[in-house]
Amino acid sequence: MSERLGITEDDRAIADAVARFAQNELAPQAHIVDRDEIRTTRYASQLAELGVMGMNLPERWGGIGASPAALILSIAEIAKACGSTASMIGAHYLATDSILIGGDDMIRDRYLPDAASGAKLGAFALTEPGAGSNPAGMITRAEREGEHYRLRGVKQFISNADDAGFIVVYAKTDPNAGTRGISAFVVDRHTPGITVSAPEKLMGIRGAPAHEVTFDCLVPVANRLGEEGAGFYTAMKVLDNSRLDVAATSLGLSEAALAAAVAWAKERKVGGEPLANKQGIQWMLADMKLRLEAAWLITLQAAAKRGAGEKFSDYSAMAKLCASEAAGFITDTALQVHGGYGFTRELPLERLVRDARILRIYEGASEIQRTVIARAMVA
Amino acid sequence: MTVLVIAEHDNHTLKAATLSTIGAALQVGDEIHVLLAGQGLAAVVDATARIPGVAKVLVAEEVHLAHGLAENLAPLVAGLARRYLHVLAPASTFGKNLLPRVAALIDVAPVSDVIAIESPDTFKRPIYAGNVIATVQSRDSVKLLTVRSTAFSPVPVAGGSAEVETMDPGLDLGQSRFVSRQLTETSRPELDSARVIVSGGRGLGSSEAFKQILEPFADRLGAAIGASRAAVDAGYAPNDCQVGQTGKIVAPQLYFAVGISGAIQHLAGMKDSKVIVAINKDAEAPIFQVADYGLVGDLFELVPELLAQLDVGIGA
Amino acid sequence: MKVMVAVKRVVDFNVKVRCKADGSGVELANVKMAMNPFDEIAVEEAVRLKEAGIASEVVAVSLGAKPCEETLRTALAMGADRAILVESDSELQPLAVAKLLMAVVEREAPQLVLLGKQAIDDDANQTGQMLAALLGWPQGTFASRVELSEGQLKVTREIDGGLETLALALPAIVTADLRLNEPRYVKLPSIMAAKKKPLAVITPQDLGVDVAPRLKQLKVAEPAPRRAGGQVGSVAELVSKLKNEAKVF
Ligand SMILES: Cc1cc2nc3c(=O)[nH]c(=O)nc-3n(C[C@H](O)[C@H](O)[C@H](O)COP(=O)(O)OP(=O)(O)OC[C@H]3O[C@@H](n4cnc5c(N)ncnc54)[C@H](O)[C@@H]3O)c2cc1C
Repeated sequence: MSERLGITEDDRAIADAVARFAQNELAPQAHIVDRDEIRTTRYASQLAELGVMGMNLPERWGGIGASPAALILSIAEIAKACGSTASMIGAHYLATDSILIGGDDMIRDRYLPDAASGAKLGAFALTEPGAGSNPAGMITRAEREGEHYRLRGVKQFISNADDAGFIVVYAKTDPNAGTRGISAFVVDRHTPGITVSAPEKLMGIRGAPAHEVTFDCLVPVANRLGEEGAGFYTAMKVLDNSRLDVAATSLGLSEAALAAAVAWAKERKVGGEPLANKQGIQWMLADMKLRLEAAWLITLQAAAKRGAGEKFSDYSAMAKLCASEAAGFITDTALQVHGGYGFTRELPLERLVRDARILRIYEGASEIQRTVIARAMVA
Repeated sequence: MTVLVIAEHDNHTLKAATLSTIGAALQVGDEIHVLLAGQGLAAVVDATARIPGVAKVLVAEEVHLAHGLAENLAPLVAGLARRYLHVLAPASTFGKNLLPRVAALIDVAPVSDVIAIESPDTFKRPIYAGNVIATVQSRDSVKLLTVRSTAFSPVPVAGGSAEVETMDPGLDLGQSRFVSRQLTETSRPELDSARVIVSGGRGLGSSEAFKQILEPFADRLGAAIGASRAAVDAGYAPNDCQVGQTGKIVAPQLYFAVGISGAIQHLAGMKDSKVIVAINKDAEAPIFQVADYGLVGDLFELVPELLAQLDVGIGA
Repeated sequence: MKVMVAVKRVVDFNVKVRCKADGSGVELANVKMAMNPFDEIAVEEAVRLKEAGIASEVVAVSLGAKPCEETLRTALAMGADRAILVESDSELQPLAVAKLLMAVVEREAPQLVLLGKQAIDDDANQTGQMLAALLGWPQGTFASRVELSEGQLKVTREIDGGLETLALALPAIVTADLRLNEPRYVKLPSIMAAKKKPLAVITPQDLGVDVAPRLKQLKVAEPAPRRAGGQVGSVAELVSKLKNEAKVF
């Protein structure tokens, strides 16, 4: 099969292995996961056994030495089968990337191998009720008390929080130092003083619960990631990576929707001929394909930059913006091709539309991605 | 031109597939020899000799041939094969196990699963799970074919009188030994792998009707039971029976849609079936647009009548 | 005991193949390829024999063009120890494959050769039987269970209408049927590790085998599309049509 630019045989072999698991194990359950809000964290140990939960990590900490492109292809394959699962994995990577990027070897050794093996699931707590698009506005405090910090505050929409083994929490160690007053901590989930609320009632990715989490607890100094004040920088680097994961999730959902639309258009007869014969439908399919391929290319371009060790914040933002907006268009148009059947819960289209909607919001809404892109141009 | 047919039998009776194989053989030759290898073959030799078109029955009897072990049978057939232009066996697990082994012994490329004979050296066979039909020409001096019994009409079982010739049964090579055979009680097959599926829809009206109308019919055919979503939602059939977009996607050789209207979601799950039969009282039901054979009427009368008229099972 | 497994690269089973417009063959350009599913079951069985301490080494063999290396890498990732590619760009029909495999068997001297019962492209179901004939070994085709006890191989076979068990002397050939096992998911670290396992490439010339095709494929075509539904007037007519026209009974 001819490959898109920058994908190697190894990348494909990895993606095929993930696809097989995803199609056999995740896809048949996806509509039940959605309908009954079944937590996809239940798949974490199987995914870890496959090698997916540590895929973002170097081999030393349980990773497999996969390229950024292999990571993207794999997440796309998972999203193709089940958007909730891709989202659950993304949140786990946000947490482990934080430790990898912000921490030293001591804390990496303590948490990352367990995270890769599936023994511990990660969660990432940056957003607060009053600080989403503008994380610098956070008010959660971490105040030094001897060999501990006293962590106090409320985090909002924290994916995986309830089932996590550890939560990476971003908090102000110096409320007067702006972004330089933010530090990151790894907090064991069952530390006394952590309250995880019931999950939010979500429109989509209903198998990836997000919770409000209240902290009033002690965290050992040894659980701080890097120096005091380094947290914001860490978070931004982590988001550079994770936006590619969101792009990959967008691509997977889009692939699923487009494949369904093409199959339906060929099958469904209107006025005695297949829908696919109608030019109006053909143009929809063409537009979907065009936006999908464009999104693939910019995402793989960003991955190549990441792989080469170049700065890629702007490309990551462009990939996320392009792919998540494309996913919105493609899932919606694919539903349109299905007509009334697409609107029923019998077919997966309406789920794909709902699952895709979050991709334009979390890890920096589309507006914020534009800010990131523009900043790289005018700074 | 003389054709050799390797008979499949259980030492007592001839398998029906052998009759179709002889039917195929008559398309390439006018004189048919049938090899019967086994043990205690008297009855089956008699029966074979009465098949019209069969000129000679070759009989090899010995205990080491009793179970059709390919290791002992192949040298026997290979010794005979050179005398013929065509050697045919049924494309059953028996024929497929044996014939390639014979072919390699005489350095011939066999042709599997023949569904049509175009000329003495040119044959049609399905490839890619039947999605493609290939026409192949054999350039070997002997043509070794396994033939699909469904593609050729069986010959009648009486009217002929063939010569019977006993042959040397060869040696027991002692490489393989028959241990046991368990023939499956006709427990119902899985939906995914069934050759025949009988599916019921809302037209059945109750789970009792599924039991009383559909199940005996399915069992007669060795078929799996399916259901439309409407029937599952109404509680007539369990969830795991559902055929369709959100249920199982199936593609059996034969699909009976009984009392199913044919919503597009259901069609998506079964339209790749090889032969579709629809029974429905509504002549306008969309299921008739994909059915090869449609029967309009009351399923509660038609299905039992169909059951009564089936004299040959399909399962075997 | 050394175990050899033969694996074929075929069009992925999810792909619906199309015939080329001129009927000269099946469209293979840009089509996803994968290991033949029956061969995957054979590899799984070999690896399980190794994990059970019965097999000492598992050698995977593929025959065909360069990309077959990818298929061999999959076998290595599943747990085979090393791989051999008999590289050839020409069409290899089952008889030629059996002869090549025989030559490899003579070099490698395995006690057991596992193959899939058939490849899902040509659906020939011949190679294992032919290899057994050429080697003069016993064959356990369409296996759904394989058990080694006291130097004998007990093979349960899926035959029409049921199961049959044979006892085979070693060395032997076994061809895998669907229910023999359920192949594992290949773990991602194994894919990376498989890159470091040895993969030797030889040619049919090295083995001294003539691979010229014996069967000539004249053309391929897709089966006639489904006709618009015809209605039958009675149960009797339906039964007769199913028997004589559709030939399903
Ligand atoms: C299901 C789900 C899971 C989540 N998981 C996590 C998680 O695991 N961890 C975590 O930390 N967070 C998580 N989040 C939070 C998510 O990242 C935030 O919701 C997101 O960053 C947006 O913040 P907000 O909701 O506060 O919106 P707001 O910041 O209030 O923004 C509202 C709107 O205004 C726009 N806007 C804001 N600022 C500007 C500007 N300067 N210029 C133009 N437009 C602007 C935004 O783009 C948006 O459209 C999750 C959210 C959801 C819904």
